[in-house]
Amino acid sequence: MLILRPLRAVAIAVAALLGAWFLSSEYLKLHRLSAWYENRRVLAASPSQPDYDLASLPWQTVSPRMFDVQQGTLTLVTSAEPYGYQAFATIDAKGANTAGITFDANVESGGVTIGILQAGEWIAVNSSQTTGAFAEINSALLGFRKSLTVMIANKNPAGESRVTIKSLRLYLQH
Amino acid sequence: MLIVSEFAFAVIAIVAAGVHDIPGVFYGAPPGMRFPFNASCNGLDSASPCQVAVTELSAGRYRFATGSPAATLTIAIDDQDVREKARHLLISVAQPIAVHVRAQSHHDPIVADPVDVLNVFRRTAIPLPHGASGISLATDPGTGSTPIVVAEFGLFENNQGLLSDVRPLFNEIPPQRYHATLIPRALARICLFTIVAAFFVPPAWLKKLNPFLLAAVAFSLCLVDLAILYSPYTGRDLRSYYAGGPLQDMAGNNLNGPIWEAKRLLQGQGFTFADGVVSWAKMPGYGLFSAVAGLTFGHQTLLDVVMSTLWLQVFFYSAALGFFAWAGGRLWRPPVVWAVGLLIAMLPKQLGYTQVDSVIAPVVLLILAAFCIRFEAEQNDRPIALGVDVFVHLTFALWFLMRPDVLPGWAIVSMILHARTPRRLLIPAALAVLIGVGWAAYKAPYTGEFVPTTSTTGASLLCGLWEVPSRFPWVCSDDSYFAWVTTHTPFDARSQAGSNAVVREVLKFWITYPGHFVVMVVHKMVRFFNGDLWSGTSTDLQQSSFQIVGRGPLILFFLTVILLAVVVGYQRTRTFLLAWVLFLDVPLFWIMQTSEGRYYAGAAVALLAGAVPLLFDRDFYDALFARYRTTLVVIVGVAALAIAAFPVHDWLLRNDAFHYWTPFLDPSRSTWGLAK
Repeated sequence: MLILRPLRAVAIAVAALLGAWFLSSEYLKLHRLSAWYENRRVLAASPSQPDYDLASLPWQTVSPRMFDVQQGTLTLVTSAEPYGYQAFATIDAKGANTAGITFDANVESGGVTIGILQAGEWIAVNSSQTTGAFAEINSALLGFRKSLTVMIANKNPAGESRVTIKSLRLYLQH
Repeated sequence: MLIVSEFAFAVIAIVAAGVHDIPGVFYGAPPGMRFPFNASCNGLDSASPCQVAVTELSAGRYRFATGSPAATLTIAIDDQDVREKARHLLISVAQPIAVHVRAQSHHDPIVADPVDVLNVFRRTAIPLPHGASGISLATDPGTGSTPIVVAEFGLFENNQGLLSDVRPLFNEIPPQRYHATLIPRALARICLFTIVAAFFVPPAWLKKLNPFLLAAVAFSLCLVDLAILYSPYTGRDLRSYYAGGPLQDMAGNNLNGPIWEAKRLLQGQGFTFADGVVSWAKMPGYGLFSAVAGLTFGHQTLLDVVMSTLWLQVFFYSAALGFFAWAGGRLWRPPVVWAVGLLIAMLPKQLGYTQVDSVIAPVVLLILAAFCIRFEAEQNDRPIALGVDVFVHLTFALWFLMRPDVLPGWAIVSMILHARTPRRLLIPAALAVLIGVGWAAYKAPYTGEFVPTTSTTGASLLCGLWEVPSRFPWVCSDDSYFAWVTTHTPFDARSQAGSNAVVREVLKFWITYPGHFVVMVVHKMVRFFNGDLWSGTSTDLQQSSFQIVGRGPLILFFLTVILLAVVVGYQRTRTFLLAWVLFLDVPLFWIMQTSEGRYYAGAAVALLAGAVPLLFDRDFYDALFARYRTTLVVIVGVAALAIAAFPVHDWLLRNDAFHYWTPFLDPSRSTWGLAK
């Protein structure tokens, strides 16, 4: 019994801590989701100043045939790899709950995918495989990773694509 | 104290989640603007006048239905104040497929562009222009000729609470996702957490609080389940569903029969569902239950009686669980009572239906509670007071008042309980006779027969034959039963004589096709143990748990625990009696109609009450170890049966030579003996 008594105390402490973690995580899960829906609504209605735009995103390229940002417009000619990543910008998530993205592009040939990745997974993605205007608003609930990546990829199974992005804005919402 | 606080917080969260759903489930919308209106329609057949039937669903919310196919339906708003204030129209259309909705004004006949509303039972909230004097609905000429049925119509000053409930927390999450998935899943996890936490709550506190907390939690979980199925924000509005569905059907069907009985009884028109028509298929208990509900919560309209009945069902379920928790507290440790009670509160339910099967689970809870009181006296070597036995049998009598299937089980349980005091068998006998004779005497002037129970044995046996896959070309339906009785006997299909004739023919059929009888029993038994036992409508509250442990394996586990206790002789009689529904009531439905498991409502309660307390009983495990050979035999036997069940079932279904084997009687002499 002398051995069991401290064991019971440990069991109570462990159960209490697990309970606190469990209940708070249930609350946080719903709270974050609710915040995401709110942010999505705000994003669709009247977005404020973006945290990043086409010019301020720290772009890096993979292997596009052309990548050119001039006067706030990005012109991209992809490689021939059908679904290959072309250009990306990795930024600090700054502890945000959600990330919203809006863009206005024109697909001149082939197809393109624009979206957000976190930990290597697409968490918000829009694609167009037809030429013409391609404008979307999207947002995603962020995981607990510190960074996220805005990605532009080729979406043309036949090879090269060409796209002009007139605006791309990223909103980090808490 | 931290874990006690967590337990308290979890219970408050569970209760709050359910209480929040009350307005959505029981009222369907915030109060709308009540106003004098004039509803008119233009019929497609100009020769006959077009009439509009109006039902008030809840304050300021109406249902409109034209009596014949119509091209337009117009609701004129006759109140100037309402015209000024009304800013939002709440509308959902049941038929036709689509209508054009347009606001009108006295000054300008068209003040708003038409809005197309589709009949997908989803609500639409349409902003109204200032000064709208009427709303017109027009059908598309191409959509065919049907009456216009507006399932919901209301005028509101603002649109809060029309398309989504207003929540103090997490208000941005869409209602469908919130109510149908997130909340039930979170609550299921929180419930399971409280089962663990309860073991760290001071037992004296928990013992005192268990009846109240479990009743409150059950009340909440009933509402959470109802909100998933019947909240206007997630599925269909409960009031619109009844006003547009069961209450439109001919009086006497499953869902409206008891409502009509209650309404007519409260109006002094006798316990009938139509003039001179008494129920042939039901015992009187549920109609009386609805009448009590109507008296308690309101009975001005049929819809009021429906809503009152549903209210009382929720209260009855919660109160019965609270009472069971109080009685169970005499036998089991408080955290064990919490575990059993909470698992029962989480079970799938049928509380959205105004039919007798919805209240069988709480009736079983009352029976088991009465058993607990009796067991406690036995455990303490006190003589069983007469009052306790009378109470035990009153609870059985309540079931008999509701449904007659309890009779065989009641008789056997009575013999077990009173094996040493046979004189006390007079209690159940007297109660059964009182109810049976009373009901028969009441019905006799209407039916010309003296029938103490119902006249549906034949119908149920006949239906049971066709609930299993076979090459017999018959189906389970009231119509086919009526047709057979009318064609083959001189009796009324609703009479006992007609039922008796069918019973004889079914018995002959069983002997003619013994293979089909075996297939029927095995098929229903396998289905029962594979999940039908969890009778009721499963929502994510249950599904999320069933995803962890499957419906079938869960049943098998609890059943094995009960079998072990019975076979090794640990609290054998107590365990058998707590689980008696499984052994003495459920098998009846393997030869009768099961109606997709609707009648098994009390089985899951019995399974949990029989098995769960044993799992927390150290002496039970000692008993299993003491007779480990027997324990092993039982476990291996159950495992073997579980493994063999589906192959045997499939073999039986595929084996026509056995299924349609006719060793005793000539199949051509049976009315149904012609397999395809």
